[in-house]
Amino acid sequence: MISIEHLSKSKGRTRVLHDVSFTARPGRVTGFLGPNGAGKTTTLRILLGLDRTPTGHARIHGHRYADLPRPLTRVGALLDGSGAHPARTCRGHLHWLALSNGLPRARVDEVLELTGLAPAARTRTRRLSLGQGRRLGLAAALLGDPGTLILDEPVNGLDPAGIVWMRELLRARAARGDTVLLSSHLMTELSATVDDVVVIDHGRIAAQGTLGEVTAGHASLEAAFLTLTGGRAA
Amino acid sequence: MITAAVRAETGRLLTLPAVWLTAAVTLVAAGLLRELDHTQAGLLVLGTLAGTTEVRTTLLAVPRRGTAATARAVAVTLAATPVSAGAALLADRAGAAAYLVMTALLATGVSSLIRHPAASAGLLTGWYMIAGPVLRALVPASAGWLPDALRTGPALVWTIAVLAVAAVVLSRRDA
Amino acid sequence: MSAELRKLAGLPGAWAGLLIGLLAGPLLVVLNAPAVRRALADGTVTDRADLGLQHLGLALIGATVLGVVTISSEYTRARDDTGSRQVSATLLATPRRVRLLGVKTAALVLVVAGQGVLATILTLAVTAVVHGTAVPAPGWGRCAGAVLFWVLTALLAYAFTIVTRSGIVPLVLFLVNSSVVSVSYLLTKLTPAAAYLPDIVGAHMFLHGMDSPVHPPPLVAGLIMTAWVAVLLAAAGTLFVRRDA
Repeated sequence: MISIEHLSKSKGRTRVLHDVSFTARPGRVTGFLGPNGAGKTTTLRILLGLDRTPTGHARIHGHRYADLPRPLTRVGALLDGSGAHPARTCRGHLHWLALSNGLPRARVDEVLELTGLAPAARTRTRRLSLGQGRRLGLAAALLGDPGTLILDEPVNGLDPAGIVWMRELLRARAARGDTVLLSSHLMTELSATVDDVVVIDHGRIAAQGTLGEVTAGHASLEAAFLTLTGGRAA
Repeated sequence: MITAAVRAETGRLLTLPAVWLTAAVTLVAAGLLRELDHTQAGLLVLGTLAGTTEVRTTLLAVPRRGTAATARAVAVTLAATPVSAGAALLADRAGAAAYLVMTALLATGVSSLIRHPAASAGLLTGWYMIAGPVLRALVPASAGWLPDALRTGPALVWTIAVLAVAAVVLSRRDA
Repeated sequence: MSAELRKLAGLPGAWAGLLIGLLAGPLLVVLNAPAVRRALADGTVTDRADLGLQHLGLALIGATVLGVVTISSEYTRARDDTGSRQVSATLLATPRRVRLLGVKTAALVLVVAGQGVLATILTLAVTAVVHGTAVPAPGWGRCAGAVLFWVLTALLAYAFTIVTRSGIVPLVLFLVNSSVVSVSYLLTKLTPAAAYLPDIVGAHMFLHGMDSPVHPPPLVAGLIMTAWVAVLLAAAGTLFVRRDA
């Protein structure tokens, strides 16, 4: 369960979030949609304790991310890039992360296997393709086998097989009761993956509900999105 | 939690190739030049590497910023101690080992505030190699209160001050 | 060419380098004035005309920074351990690498030469104000030598950065070596051969009273330093053209 309550934030003089509130429920995949610059990444970064919150709350199972002991066992996060130093190997990157949260070393090889990176375990991360980098980021997110996943544009850079694989992974996670929150602007892909939808535009929540509720009266999720966000291209 | 964070941070540093390269160059320089005035730049680089790499990933794994900063300081101390001791011995200045460790810690604090590796390394090296010595030549008494004069006392005070400022700033700002 | 100049103008690091280079010399002349007066009174100075140009030494950091950022900015990642590097965009816009490097080098030389001329004039002007006739102005040849040294130093840092693809290594290395007592100078105490390192040998172009095992005439000194830079640039250029961006 992720709950965002009355979140507002300014960066410099621009107001990037205005009173943003929504929830992502367990057992469901929640899509967080919005045009570029709408405030998706900022919201996720606040949720993960990377950006500070002047007003409002962002909680995971009732706790701030920073208050979670061994957070990787509760929440898996994927932001842009792999988050690894370019001179490190994939295994080396996952290994120090595992150490930081007291995870068994065996998990490193398990997630490498799970994300299809086992053959690249010894590759330095600067040599990874965009898609491989995303897989490494996802491997880090899955390292602690968390019950909550927070993913920023997870299918970015993945090939068609990777996109299908990601969809099935997220569906399987939700099916076992996990909370999954992902941001995206790829509507077609999203409508096949998500149960619930939250639309953000100019830092305000424009709509939220189940996929059916939000798309009701529109030809597709894409059409609903364009109407809700004033027709600006995603 | 803090033990795990320290272990991870130490492992993180020791698996960065640049850290080993810096350590090697520092020791070679100390052996060749048999002095620390220039050699201490190696510790500045070591500290900068710790302070500016993988910041976001670290905070996702260890979101309590106080814990993360403490773990980093301990890890830098652990990594810098053998290099400092080796360099100090090679330069026949065994007493300066603690000073060198503090130099690395100070660089960690400064670079985590600046966040840009090259800018931090440039500023720190510029200070230690040029501005500091020039100031000391002009005002010899400044050696007693500046951090870069190979004196343990002032270096300790400066290091504590910088790490404290860094801890406060890092706990407040967006990562 | 104008694209490369514009790129340079957009970098805060380049402006820092430009200002350091222009202001460090005159500032140092003022700060160091008491020590220079003492040295003049003691009669320990071997060549009085050295005293003006000597203060350019630390200002060279400015030229070094310019040389480094010209290249390192291309290889900086957009964000913390993520993002792409500007060099890809540069090479898409200017795919012919030899030409690109030529233009980049020319842009750097233009900026640094201008900076060197201005820095020399400013430093000597301030010297004249502070010391009057006690420190005679050096001849044109020596001033030209100083500017050449300035440009060659920037090119040295530039070539070095092409090889390392990171700003940190050359920046730290050159800063350490611009220290009041340079590493190269310490090395000359270990082996006389170190006197032929570019920064030591090149300084003979404009300083006469240097403490060095060898004293080549200015022209020879200039040629040796130019040869160093040419070889390093050629090696760096070959590497840049051949390897993956």
